[in-house]
Amino acid sequence: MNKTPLLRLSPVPVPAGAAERVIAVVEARQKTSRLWRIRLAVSTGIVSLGGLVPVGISLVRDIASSHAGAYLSLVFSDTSIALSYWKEIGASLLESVPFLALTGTLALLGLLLWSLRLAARSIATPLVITNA
Amino acid sequence: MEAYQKGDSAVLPLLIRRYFDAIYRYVYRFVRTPAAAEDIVQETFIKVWKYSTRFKAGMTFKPWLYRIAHNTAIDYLRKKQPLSLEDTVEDTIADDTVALLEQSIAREEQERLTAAIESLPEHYRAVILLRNEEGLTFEAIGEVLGKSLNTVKSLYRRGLALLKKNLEVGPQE
Repeated sequence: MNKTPLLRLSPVPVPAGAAERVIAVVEARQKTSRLWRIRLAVSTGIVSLGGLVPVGISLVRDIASSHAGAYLSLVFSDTSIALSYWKEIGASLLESVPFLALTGTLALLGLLLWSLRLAARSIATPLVITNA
Repeated sequence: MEAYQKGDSAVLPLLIRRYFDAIYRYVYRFVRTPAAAEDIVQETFIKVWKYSTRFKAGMTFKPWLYRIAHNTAIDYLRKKQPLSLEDTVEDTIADDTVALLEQSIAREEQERLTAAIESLPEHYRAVILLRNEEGLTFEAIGEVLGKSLNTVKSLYRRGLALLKKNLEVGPQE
């Protein structure tokens, strides 16, 4: 809670316009920061998208050529066998999944989603509005 | 501050305009040059913008702001020259002498008083300025300086005693 100052000190003159100068500097920093975030989001998005295409194609090709595709089609075509031999089918599926390509695809997908989120937040965040 | 965190960007200039003069005055008492004071206040509000996510619900804005300003001013002073933090007053000041000290000091001339305060070690100076010029409670001062309530009260007592001594015999840094 405030009270009347007990010690009356010499007044400190505040330079005219100083507050507005500070507001202008803060606004400039916000603009710069926002631009850098947008640039980072765009470049990360481009890189992740560029990498996602070949890695995704490779993943699909690997799944198709591996036995994982066969096991998956078995699971979806004859569910009774899949339920009876779920342990064996599960283990075989795990052995045949192309983990490297899958990990790469998921990582690049995550990076793309992160860059989209960063871009959306940077564009949506309004700058300081000064009263001219 | 919560409004700013929720995306109301028009709040920040309002906060700057509302608190600029008070923060500038407080910082000026430490650095004593208008250019340095303005730079420090600018840096303070830049930090308010940058670290706005660290302001949690339930916190009070004013002590948080003063804490940033105080730390920024102290960092500036430490870069400029190492601070001398020796105190020459024993911690034997009783609580009931605080009021007597305050009244005795208040009668002194304004300019001598200002010079004497500005010559105090920074930790005493901060407590006295925040208490008397900025009107903060001891609890709020504790938040600003990152110290316990008892420590703040002790610093205030000792600061007043040293201030009184300086006014009698001249500043001793």
